[in-house]
Amino acid sequence: MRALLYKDLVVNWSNTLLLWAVAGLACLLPPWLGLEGLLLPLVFGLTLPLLLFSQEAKEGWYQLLLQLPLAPRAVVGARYLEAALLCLWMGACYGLGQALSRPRPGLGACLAAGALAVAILLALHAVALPLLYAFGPGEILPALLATLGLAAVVSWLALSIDEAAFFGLAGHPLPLLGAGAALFLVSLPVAVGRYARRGWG
Amino acid sequence: MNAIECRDLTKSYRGFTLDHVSFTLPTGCILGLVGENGAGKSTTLKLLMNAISRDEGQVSLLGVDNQSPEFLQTKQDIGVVLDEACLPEVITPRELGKLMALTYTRWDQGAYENYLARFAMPRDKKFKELSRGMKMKLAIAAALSHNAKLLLLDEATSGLDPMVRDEVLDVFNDFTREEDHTVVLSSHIVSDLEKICDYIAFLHRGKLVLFEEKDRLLEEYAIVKLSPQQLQELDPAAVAGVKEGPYGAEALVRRGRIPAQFVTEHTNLEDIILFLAKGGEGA
Repeated sequence: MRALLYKDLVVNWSNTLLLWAVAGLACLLPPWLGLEGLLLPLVFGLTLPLLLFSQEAKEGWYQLLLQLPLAPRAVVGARYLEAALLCLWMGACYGLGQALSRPRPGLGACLAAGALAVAILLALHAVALPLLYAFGPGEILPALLATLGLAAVVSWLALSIDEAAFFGLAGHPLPLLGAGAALFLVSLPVAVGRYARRGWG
Repeated sequence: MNAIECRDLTKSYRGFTLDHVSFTLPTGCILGLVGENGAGKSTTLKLLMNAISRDEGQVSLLGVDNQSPEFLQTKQDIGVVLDEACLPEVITPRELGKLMALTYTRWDQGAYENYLARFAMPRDKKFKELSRGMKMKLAIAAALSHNAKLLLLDEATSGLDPMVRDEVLDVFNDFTREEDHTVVLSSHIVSDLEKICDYIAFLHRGKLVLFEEKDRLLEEYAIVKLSPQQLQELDPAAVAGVKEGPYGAEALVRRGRIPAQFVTEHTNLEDIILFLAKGGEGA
């Protein structure tokens, strides 16, 4: 795990910094500028890490990690840890953007907005990461489309079943955060299995 | 304990099959894996590392099944160098040393620095900015600096100039001075393999045509120049390959199976491989 964190925080520091900066801005600016909804932050929040992952694969990191005596759970676990921290960062930026918007909402509303953003981002990553390991790190487009497609289908189904309850979920950010985190953790062994099975393909 | 035991190793892709490859490599030897481009050398090495999944067969490296959970620990004893783009583009030699130190429990930073100095490696240049020879030397330095017992080298000398190749082959020879150190070196440069290898494995179109001790191979085979009529007189079992020309034929023969009146010439590994690849039976 230390080797993997060294890779991202030291060797690839510029890419990591760029990712965090752009993702943070993508979550901070829309609410600050009065743009409603989570769509832009969510699309950026999902696409940017996948693009970085794909870029790393093109640079040869994926092949190197497969050669080294690193357990699959360490490799994938490091990826999950970084994704979780990124989701928390983006949620914090989204909440901060809410706090800077007009009319200024209360602290509770900002925290709730941030928690909602984190919950949805964790849930999206929970779907995308195993798909990415299944398709291969160079194939982000199928993973991205499959994740967004699944999110759209689930949202449509939920809306069809009970529209009021669906929109009412936004009023319960903590349970949503718990559900997002649980889904994220449950998907980890799935991603580990896909990585271990895939190898170089 | 054998360094590598491989039974019925099979892997199919569209248009190519590595077909039931079996061999056993004793510890302390250098195996040259030779074959034309696309013969299956890289596939074999990746299957040995379990980097790609096999369709059939069994592999054990250093006594451990490469699909068992214990193999993760065994990887600490295996150094791998793959063809050309074997390290991330953005990493520098200095960073690679630190990354490896965090990965391998027996990483020897002193040995790594010695190799970098021996190869005149710039410490802070990104991998993509290094020449081909330097890239390969860096990968070799990393593979040799964690007290590995087995080196798997895929085309590690291809594309290198003769001076660098000679230097690198000397490094591999030095590595096998320890009796529990083993090297598998794949290459289509047969002359390199003839210099240092103890065993030769010849892959041709996915099949293992030959696995033999190099010295025994050179003792067993010879070249004979003869006329087409003389060629007919030979026992077909004695002939491993034939090259026919306008003025006669050259045959690769097994020394002990041809009549004494035929004048044999010593052959080299490259000729043996060419004859076996171009026609005639396998060994």
